[in-house]
Amino acid sequence: MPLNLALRLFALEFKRAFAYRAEFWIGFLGNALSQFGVAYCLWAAMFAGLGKTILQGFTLPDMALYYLLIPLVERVVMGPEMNHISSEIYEGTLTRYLVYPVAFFRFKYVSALAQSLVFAGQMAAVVGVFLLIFGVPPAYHITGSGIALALLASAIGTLLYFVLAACLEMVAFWADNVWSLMVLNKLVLHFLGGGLLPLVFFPQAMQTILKLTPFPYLVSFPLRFLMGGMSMAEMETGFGVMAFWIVVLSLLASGIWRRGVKQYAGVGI
Amino acid sequence: MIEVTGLSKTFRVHKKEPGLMGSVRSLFQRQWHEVHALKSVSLRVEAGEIVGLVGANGAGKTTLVKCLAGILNPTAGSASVLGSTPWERRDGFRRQIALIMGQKAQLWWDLPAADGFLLLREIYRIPEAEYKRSLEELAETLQVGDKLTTQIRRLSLGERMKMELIAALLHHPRVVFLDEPTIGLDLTAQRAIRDFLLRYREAHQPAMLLTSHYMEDIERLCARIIIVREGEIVYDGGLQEVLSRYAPHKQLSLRWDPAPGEGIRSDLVPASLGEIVSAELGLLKIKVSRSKVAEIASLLLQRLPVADLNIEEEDVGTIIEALIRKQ
Repeated sequence: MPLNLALRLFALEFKRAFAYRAEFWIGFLGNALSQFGVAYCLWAAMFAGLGKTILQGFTLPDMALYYLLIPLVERVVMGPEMNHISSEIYEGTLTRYLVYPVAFFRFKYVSALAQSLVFAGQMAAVVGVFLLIFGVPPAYHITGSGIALALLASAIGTLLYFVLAACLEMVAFWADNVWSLMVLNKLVLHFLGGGLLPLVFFPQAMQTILKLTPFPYLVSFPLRFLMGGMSMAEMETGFGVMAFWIVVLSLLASGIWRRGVKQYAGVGI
Repeated sequence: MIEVTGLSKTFRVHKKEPGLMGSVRSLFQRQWHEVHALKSVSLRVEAGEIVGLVGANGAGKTTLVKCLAGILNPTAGSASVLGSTPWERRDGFRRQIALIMGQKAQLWWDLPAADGFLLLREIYRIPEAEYKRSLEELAETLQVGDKLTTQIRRLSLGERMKMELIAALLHHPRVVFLDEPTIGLDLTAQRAIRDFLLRYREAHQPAMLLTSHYMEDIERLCARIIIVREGEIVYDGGLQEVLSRYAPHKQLSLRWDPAPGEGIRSDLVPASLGEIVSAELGLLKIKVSRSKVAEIASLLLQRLPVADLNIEEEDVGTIIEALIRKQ
């Protein structure tokens, strides 16, 4: 994709984000803070009830930071609008991408990446305010390189999520409704990605299997760079597995696309 | 510019039975039926031509346009548009065509038109000076210069359509497909768009394929029409030739002041002149062969004390309607 077109898409997404800024803050306050609040109260009660200060390597402040960051990283990696491909298929607006001399997936991914960047900016603001109010707790090991690696992992995570979601959204070429499938996808990714519970609390066997799937690399992986304690070997494996799934899912997506477009009738036209 | 040979398109459509039980049944046993939208269609369109594609709803016009714009893969047959096979969707081909659909907006509805145009400038890689010139010229001709910064969804239907036209023509396509470009517009907006298309054709000489249900669009814009019925071309030729082919007669109406009690005498108006549609006191309506209109009119003028003579042509729209409906 030409750089000028990519920059234009970025500019448009920023413009949209500015136009719909209320949506982010309402979404964030309504969703993330309540999620954080519930998790914090639950874990505080558990730590107190068990009489422990550390659970699977997590102290209560660690846990608080984890649940504060989870919705934010999720928003960055998996935030770009759901159904952005299926709705184009259902509404027939996919037609324009077939007529315009443009690569559909690249176009869509650059838009999604721009949205992620907007969310990342908002996330930085939220974390900044949090740290300004509460200060940096001494237990946290947030470093410059940790932030840089977390950003890199998140950026690759956006691509992984994009190709994964694209494969599911393209079911719309054949099915009358994929909305529920996409909601299910989000729930599965939230659970298996460590959004509900840190992955260290999962049974060992399940953790081993999960490490081979794309799920832990979407949210937990970038987050662990921020929280510290990631070994070099883990890091290499993580990026390797992400690359593997990106290649596999991209091939799958392009196969589905080729077949799907032959099915496409441009409804409503 | 456009060459189509034996193009066919068959859709496989899922039959849905009504009611809840029908939905449950279709989960286990799906029933399909085939719809033959195009049946071996062949045609050619040259540069500078505006060809009207006419037909009833579901006749296959839009399917044909979609195949030629590269959106649909046909079931059989071949097509070449500017030397490319449309459904291969090569960038070189897509840079030279445009598709305008009256029923489906292509511009991004939540952006102002100006932003959508800038995006298209990058997509088509239009040099800045050329882009500015084109946009200025198009916006001025369509009189929407002051609406460019308004979000598309806040524009009226007519303004939106004008923006769609600008979006489609910014890159000066050599082939333009127009699918009902004036649908739902008021008469003034329809006329503005028709005038604009004629001017655009004059200036740029693209090949244009136009579908419309408004006969006025067809009559004003197209010297040639293609009538499609149930996926087949039933007529391909000049608009005026439709009249000579399908309306071989004209109707003469003669009015005069009759003498009391006088009817039409068969020696003055013999049956060989034509078919008498109605003969009343002082009024004769007779259908005569198109080629003999002048001769018979002058004969009757000599024989009858005619006060008023009218030569009526069958309306081209009515004939096309009849052809579309297989009458």
